[in-house]
Amino acid sequence: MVNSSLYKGFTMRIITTVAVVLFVYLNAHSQSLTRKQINLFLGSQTVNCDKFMTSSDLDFLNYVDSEGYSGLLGNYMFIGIMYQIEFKDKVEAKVTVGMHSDLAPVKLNFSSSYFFNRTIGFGASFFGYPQNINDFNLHHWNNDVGLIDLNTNARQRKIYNLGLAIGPDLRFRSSIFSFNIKLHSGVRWLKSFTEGFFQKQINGNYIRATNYITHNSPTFYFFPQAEIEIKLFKIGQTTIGIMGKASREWSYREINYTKNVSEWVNAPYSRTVTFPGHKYIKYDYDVGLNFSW
Amino acid sequence: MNTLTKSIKILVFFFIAQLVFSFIVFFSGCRCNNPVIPYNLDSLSIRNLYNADNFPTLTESNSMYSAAIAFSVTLADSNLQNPYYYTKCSIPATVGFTSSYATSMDCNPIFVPNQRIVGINIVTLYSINSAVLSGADVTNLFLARSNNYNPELMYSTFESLFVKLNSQPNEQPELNFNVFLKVPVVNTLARFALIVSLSDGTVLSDTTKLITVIPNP
Repeated sequence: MVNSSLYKGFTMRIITTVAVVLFVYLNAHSQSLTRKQINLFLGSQTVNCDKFMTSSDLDFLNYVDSEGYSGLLGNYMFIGIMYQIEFKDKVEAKVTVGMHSDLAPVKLNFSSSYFFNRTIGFGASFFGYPQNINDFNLHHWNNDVGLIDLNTNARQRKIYNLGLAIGPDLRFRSSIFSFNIKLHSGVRWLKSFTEGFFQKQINGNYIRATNYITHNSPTFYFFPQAEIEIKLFKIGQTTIGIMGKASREWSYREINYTKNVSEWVNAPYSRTVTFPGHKYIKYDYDVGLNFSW
Repeated sequence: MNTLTKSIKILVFFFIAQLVFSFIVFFSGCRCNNPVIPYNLDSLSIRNLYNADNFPTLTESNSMYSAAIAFSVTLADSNLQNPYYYTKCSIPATVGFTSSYATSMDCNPIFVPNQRIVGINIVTLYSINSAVLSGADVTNLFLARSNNYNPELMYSTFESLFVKLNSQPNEQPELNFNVFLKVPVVNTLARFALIVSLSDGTVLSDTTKLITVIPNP
C-alpha cells in the first residue's frame, strides 16, 4: 500500500534532494568516473523485536510485524535496484531503492564513502523503510474489560523508520571479486503518527476517547553491512556478475507518545508515556545480478 | 433554396443558443431559493433509548440497564401534521425547449424555530441512589448529544448543545437531542421529568415512561 505521506517529511526531502544533487553532479563529471554499476536484486527483511506485554499503556512496538527469521522469505520480501558510481577511485556514492509488492519505492538507502587508500575509507549512510504494526487494538481489547472498541476493524498502521549513520568502510578488490564492509553507527528515529480509539461501556453510557501522538523517539543504532560481488563474464563494455549483501540493524527502540484521554465529554487530559527500549534486530539479505562498466 | 438555407441557419443558431442556455442551467444546478419556514416549539416528547450496545437506538422497551439510562428528546410544532416538506426548485425560464434533468431537483426548505432553547431541568421521580433521592434536580447528572448517527462523538453539556441546536439550520421542523445519565441507578424503577425553557418564556415539560432498571452484570 502506497503511503504518500511518507515522503512529506522535511528530513526525507532534504536528504533525497542532497542525494539527487550529488548524483547529478557526479554524473555530470562522468569523465572522472572510474566505475559505474547497477545491481538488480531480490531482498528479504526480517525483524526480531522484544515484546513487553505487561505495560498498562499501549506499547506499539509489541505489535510490530516481527515474526523473526522464518525461512528464506522473512517478514518482508522486496525487489530492489542499486546504482553506484565511483569518482576517481576515491569516492563511492550509492543509491538503493527497494519495493514491496505494491512496487512503491519506499525502502531507501543512500550511502557515500571516501577511501584514503585502496582498502580503508570512511562513509555515511541513510536509510528509510516502512514497517507494519498490526492489531495493536488488542491492547485495549485485552486490558479494558467492559469497554468495546467502536471501530471493529482490524488495525494496521505503516510506520516509517529513518536512520543516519557514519563509520569506517573497508573494501577488498581483485579483478573478479569485490568485498565491501561498512561498520556504521548513528541515530535512528521514527516518523511520528497519530492513532485514536473510541470506546464505550458495554450496557452503559460511559464513553472514552484515547488519542496517541507518537514522538520521533530517536535512539542509537549499529548498522554493519557486508557486500560481495563476483564478476562472471563480459558483454561489450559491461561486466556481468552476481552479488550478495547482508546487513543488520541493532538498536534499542522505543515508541513514546503523548496520550490524550477524554471521558464523557471532549475535555482531554494529557500525559507523556515513555517505554523501556525494546531490543530490535533487523536482518536484510539481498541476492541478485551485478552490472558494471 | 436561399430561403431554406437562411431558415436552416436561423434554426441552427436557435438550437445552439438553446444548447448553450441548457448547459448554463445544467451547470448552475437547481436554483434553490431555500425557503425559510418558521415554526413554533410547542410540544415536547420523550422516547426511550437502548444504549447497551455500540450506539443508541430508539426502543419501545421500558427496561434499561442501570448504567445505560438514556432518552431521546424532541421539541416540535404540534400544528405541523406532516413534518416532511419539500419545495420544487425554480428552474430559470429559457427560450424554446424546456431543459431536462436526470436527477431530482427538489430543494429542502430550512426550518427555523421561533423560539430558542434557553434551559433544561431534569428531576428524578424515583431515588437514583442513597444520595440522590426522589424529587432531586439531576440535570447535572445528565449529558447530551445532538447527533445519534455518529457514535464516535463525545457527549456535551446542555449549554454547548443548546448553542449548537439554536444556531444550526434544520431540514425538519423539530429539534432533537439525546440525554444520557452518567451515574448508574441503584433502584428497580426510574422515571424523570424534563422541563425545557424557551426564549419566549414558554416552558415545556414531559415525563419519561416508567423504566424498569436491570442491574448491570
